This record gives sequence, C-alpha cells and structure tokens, in this order.
Amino acid sequence: MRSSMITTRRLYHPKVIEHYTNPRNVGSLDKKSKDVGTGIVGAPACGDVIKLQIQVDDKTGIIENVKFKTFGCGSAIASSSYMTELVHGMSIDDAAKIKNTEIAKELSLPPVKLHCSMLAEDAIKAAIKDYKTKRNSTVLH
Amino acid sequence: MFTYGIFRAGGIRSSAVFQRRLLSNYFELFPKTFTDKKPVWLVDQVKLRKEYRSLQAQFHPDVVKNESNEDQSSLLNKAYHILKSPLTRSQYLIKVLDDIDLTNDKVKKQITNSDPELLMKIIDIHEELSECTEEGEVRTIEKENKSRMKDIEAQLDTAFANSDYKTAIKLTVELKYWTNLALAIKEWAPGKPIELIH
Repeated sequence: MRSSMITTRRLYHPKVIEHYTNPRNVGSLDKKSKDVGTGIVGAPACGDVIKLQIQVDDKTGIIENVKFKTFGCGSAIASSSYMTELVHGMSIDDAAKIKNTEIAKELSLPPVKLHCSMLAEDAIKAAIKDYKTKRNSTVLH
Repeated sequence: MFTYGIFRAGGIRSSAVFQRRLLSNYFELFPKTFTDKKPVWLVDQVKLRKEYRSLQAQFHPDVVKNESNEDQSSLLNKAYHILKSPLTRSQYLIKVLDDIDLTNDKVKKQITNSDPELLMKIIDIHEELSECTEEGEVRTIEKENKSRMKDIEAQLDTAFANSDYKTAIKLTVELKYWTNLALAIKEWAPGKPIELIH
C-alpha cells in the first residue's frame, strides 16, 4: 500500500507538481452575487470534488475573476488550477468550448488520470450554466 | 460470463482458481460465514475474520509453497478485504447484483446523482479540516464523519434488504466521499496540504 502510494506520487508530471504546489486562483467568490456562477462537481469513482466559480462582466460576457477549490488527487488539483488560468479573461462562450483534452495535454496526464481533466471541464461548464441561469432569471424581472 | 465479470472485478492475474472451482462470487470463498453462498450485505465480521485466517493458514505460500496455493492465497486476501469493508462490499454487491461498477471512472455517465448540496458540504468540511491548527479540532471532524458513515451504513441495511439498488448506489457514492475524508483526516498534520492518493 505504502510503496504504491509513493509510486503514484512519483508518476506525476513536473507540470502537475508545479500546479499542485503552487495552485492558481484558490478561493471562493460570493455564491449569492448575480454575476457569479458556481460549478460544483464530483467524481463518484474516485471521490474527488471540484468547486469552480466565475465572475462575469454582464455586458461583455468576459470572465473577469475565477476561483476554485478542489478536494482530490494532485491531477484533479492541477487540472482545476490550469482551467482557472485558461478561462481568466476569456468569454463564457469560448470557455464553454474548452475540452478536457487540452488540459490533459498541457499537464501530460496519463490515461488513468484523464477523468480528472474531465471533471475540470464539467466544473467550468456547470459554472457557466449556473451563471446563465441566474442572468436569465434577472432579465425576466 | 458471470465468472469472467468477477475475475475482472477481482483483478486476479490468473483465473485458474475460478476455472477450476467455478466460483461465481467472492462470498463463496467463505462458506462457513456465508452459508447460502449468495451475495449479501450483512456480514458477521468475527466469523469472516476467523474463517479467512483459517483458510489462509491452509493456503498461505509460507505454509505450502506451490503456484496454485499462491493464487488461492492472494484471491482469499483480495476477497476478504473487499467483503470486510462496507464501502468496497457495497460497491461489489452493486456490481454483482445490479451490474454497475461504481469504481469505474466512466460510471458517471450511468448514474445521475450529483447532489450539489452534498458536494458543497464535502468541500466545506475539507476546508475546515485544512484550516485546523489543533488535534482537538480534527478529532471533532473525525467524530462527526464516523457518525455520518455509520448512518449511511444503516441506510444501506435497508436499501439492500429491499433490493433498492438505486438508493444503494446513491448511498455508496456518498460513502466514497466520506471515506476519502476519513483518509484525509488520518493523514492530517498541521499546515500540511490535503491531497488524495489514488
């Protein structure tokens, strides 16, 4: 058990370790604020959980601020950290198009860790959806 | 077909034991504990441990060294550990009885129970844990988590008794999250970042 844990640790690519030891944009935004979208997703098989939040400029649709919190393995932490770097300053339409393969490639994730990048993709999509739902309900008033 | 599924689930390199004995599930390996040889949720832990030890005494490679004993010994070991712990036993039962593998990454597509409130609670408690500075605070989180897990296990009693696999799946996924928290609690040290190893 111990030895396999050490092996797993060693298998991380330097880019994963870099994001893991120095994660970007860790934290929270005000969930109740109407320009903030919150995505929270979990992976039933490994039990990792990602919370990703975006703050969007209502007029331009640009993601002005982004924060995340992840409880999971190094790859899940690195995937969400890199995702926040990617989407910062991006329009929500472009951010919605990001594929997990882009993250997996950047971080050189091995096949067994592809689902971590998938979870990060799910998280940004969920955050955008939440923001849009809030925005639409505001417009209706 | 069924045997093949078990063999894959067990990850045993050699299927010789299954082929020779036509074993269809891990429960059959412990006939004194599971007398009707059927997959079952409720387990007499004392009985199971006793039977496991006595079987290992016969098959352990240290006792009689030959290849088939090694296979049998590692199979017993694998089966015992899966059946012993509530999370893995429940995952195994759901795989055998409902054909859903909750340990597979692709399972997300098969089940639709992402409960944002639950996930938020998990994130919040992990944050609490990462902000703990004293052992005492960690023990409080641990106590709460243990009681949460016990409660889920009790609900699983009912779900499996009623063959309600939909509920069993939901509970088992939740149990996985709290088991991860339990591991994080175990690894806790002041100021140490939380990372799951799997």
